[in-house]
Amino acid sequence: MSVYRPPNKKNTYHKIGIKNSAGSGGKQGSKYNMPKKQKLPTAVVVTNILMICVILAVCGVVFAISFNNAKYDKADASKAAERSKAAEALMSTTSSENSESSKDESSSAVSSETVSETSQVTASVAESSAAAPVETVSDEFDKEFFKDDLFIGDSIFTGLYGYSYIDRANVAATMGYTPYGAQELPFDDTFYSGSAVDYAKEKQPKHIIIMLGSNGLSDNTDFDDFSNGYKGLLNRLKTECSEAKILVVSVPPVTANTEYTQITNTVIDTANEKIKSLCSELGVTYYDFNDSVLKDANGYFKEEYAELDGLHFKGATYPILLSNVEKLLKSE
Amino acid sequence: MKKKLFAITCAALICASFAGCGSSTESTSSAGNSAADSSAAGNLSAKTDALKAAVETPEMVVLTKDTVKDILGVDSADVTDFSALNCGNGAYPDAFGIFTAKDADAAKRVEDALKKFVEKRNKDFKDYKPNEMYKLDDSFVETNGTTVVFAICADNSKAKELLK
Repeated sequence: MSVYRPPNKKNTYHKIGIKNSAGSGGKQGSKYNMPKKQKLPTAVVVTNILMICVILAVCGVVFAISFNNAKYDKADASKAAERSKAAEALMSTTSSENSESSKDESSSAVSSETVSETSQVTASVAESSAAAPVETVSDEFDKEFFKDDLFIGDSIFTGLYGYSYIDRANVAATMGYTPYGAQELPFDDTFYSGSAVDYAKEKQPKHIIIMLGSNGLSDNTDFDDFSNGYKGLLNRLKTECSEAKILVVSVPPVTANTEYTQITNTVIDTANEKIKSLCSELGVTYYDFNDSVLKDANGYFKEEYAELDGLHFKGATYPILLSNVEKLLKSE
Repeated sequence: MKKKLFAITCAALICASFAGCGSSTESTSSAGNSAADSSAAGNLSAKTDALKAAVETPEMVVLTKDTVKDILGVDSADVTDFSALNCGNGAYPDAFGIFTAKDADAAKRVEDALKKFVEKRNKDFKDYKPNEMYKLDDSFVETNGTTVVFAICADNSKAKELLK
């Protein structure tokens, strides 16, 4: 009985290989006593490849560590540079209520104590995957310092409690709020039924920090009306909260690629001049956050401090504002 | 045979070293969460993390048991576990989360609070930023047993799929 056996391909190939090897290298094989050219075992080849991978991985890790160290060194250097710039800029902060001598005290206090003592920030930010670490000026502040204060503002100031930097009870802010709105309209009727001025009157804060003016700004802005709105708000707060120290923060700039195309930095600068002048007239402190921190060399809102829309603040911007405001208020 | 065994061992070692790299990244992430709030952890935060990775969002803030009441109106006493994120800076209406309520009554309170929150977001953004209203148009608050989920984001159907 005959049984069919398929040809053994492996053996056939092996035989051919030997034959070919002998044919091509026969002479050399006979001279150096290398009769067969042996194929390296697969295991050895795989091992070698793996070892190369290991070496490359180790090199990669070493490179990554070195690169990170270099990056943080660079970040530290620019942080220091920005701190000194902020300290200089704070010196130009005006307070018409105070004399030139108090301004000098303010600036010297800031420059000698650029980094404040305690940060009690509790917010946690889920950074977007592409977000790079923000190079900041001093961003340390004492949340306790603001416990008796009130922040009045628009959507930007809602971020003060949105990021938990300031307690909800210390913020009277909402989307679209204006100086007129702050006198008449509720800022959050789920929290308090009255206006920001009503809340201030009830709360009697130690300090009132205001940042309003972005809403409604455009090339067609009637700046007399704008000033009247601000003046009305400041006068009412001065009347209703006579013991409170009032500080007005500049209207922030927009980035080069802002979503809000109707708002230009020229208009914002004009608005800030009006506010500054008004503060001088009414004896209220004005803080120019724009020139000291937010603006780049071309006058635009620095991208690293701005939300994607080019107007609102990123979470990391608030502590810088609070740090500077704290220093300013402490120095007065 | 020994060489094969050696090769397999090497391969296993390399895999282990890569896995080690991966776990260091994850531990950084979970450390961040635990710093934010121990209650916003585990499976729930994995779901919100997945949604954040899948949908384009602005800068989002992880809410904690201390802040969830102020931001969303949800009483942390009503939930045993939760994970929720909110755009903190007023620029965008984005917010989403998943809550495990203590019982059916608590789940109802959580749902009501979230519905109020969504309603307020609608009111706030309607005139302020009409181009963001598409995120609110198909936003949702849904309850299944003691689990309550909600989302206001650029892809709410994706959110529904990932949070459930």
